[in-house]
Amino acid sequence: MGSGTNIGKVRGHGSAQHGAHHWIVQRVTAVGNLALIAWLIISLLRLPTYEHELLIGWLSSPLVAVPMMLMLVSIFWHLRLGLQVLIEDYVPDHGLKFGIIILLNFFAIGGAALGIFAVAKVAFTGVVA
Amino acid sequence: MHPEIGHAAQKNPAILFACRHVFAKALVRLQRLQPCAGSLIRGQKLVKPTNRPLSPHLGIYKWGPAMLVSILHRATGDALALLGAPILVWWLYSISAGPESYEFFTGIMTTIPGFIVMIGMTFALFEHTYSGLRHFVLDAGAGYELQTNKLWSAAVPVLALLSTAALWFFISSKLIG
Repeated sequence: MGSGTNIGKVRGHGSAQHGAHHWIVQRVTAVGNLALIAWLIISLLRLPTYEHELLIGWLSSPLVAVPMMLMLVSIFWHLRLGLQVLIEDYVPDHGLKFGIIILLNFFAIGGAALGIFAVAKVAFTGVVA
Repeated sequence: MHPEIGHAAQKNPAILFACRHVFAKALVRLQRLQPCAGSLIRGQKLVKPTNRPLSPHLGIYKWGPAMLVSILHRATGDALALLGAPILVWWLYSISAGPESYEFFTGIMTTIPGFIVMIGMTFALFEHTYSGLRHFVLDAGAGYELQTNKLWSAAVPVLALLSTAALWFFISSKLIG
């Protein structure tokens, strides 16, 4: 029975030992965002123009497509954690909170998947048919 | 009634009168108590007084830079999450979907509201980033001295505004010049 609270010991539950996980992952993804968004801004500013054809060539390079995909993962993971805290702070009803967090998961995973697929499509097909 | 007060009240009618007065006031206070609809424990009525002081909230505090930067951190984070990230994905999607789709995207983003959103998102990004860097310092246990904390809290929005202006000055000079 770990060193949990008295009632936790009675119920046979101590601390889940996961308390810091959310906090740490938020920091890890923050560092990821910092590096990858800085890369994106610098990389975009170095482009001569923003014509579609030029962007296709730029995005199909592995050295652009891979950091772009990693950036999408980092951003959507980070925003999922941040919006979860927002929901937990302002939605007191447990059922509604549960439902909104499900929608948040759909939004975060769906958004990242759509972005990654778009990058992959450009990277693998190159020129637009 | 406390036994000692009761004993004293028997000796001195003035004390008895004072005690009755206090009791009557307490009764009036009790009558003001009303059952509260939202109880913490299911099935139990929680009695909540109607005219007791509430815990302090936004309206009671004197505004300071630390408070501003904390609120801005959440507000800009939410704006980036709910508006910035979908625009980023829309941009990538439009590139992958072909030239017409990309032109539709750039057409909307280069209208006046489009520029307001893009410049707003740029400010939100810098504000959230610099504020996040401040959080890293605070996480390490540093920067809590009053003057230091005030200085960096005030510096974050100023630096974010300057960075936004510098970036958009660079972009406009590049696109026009």
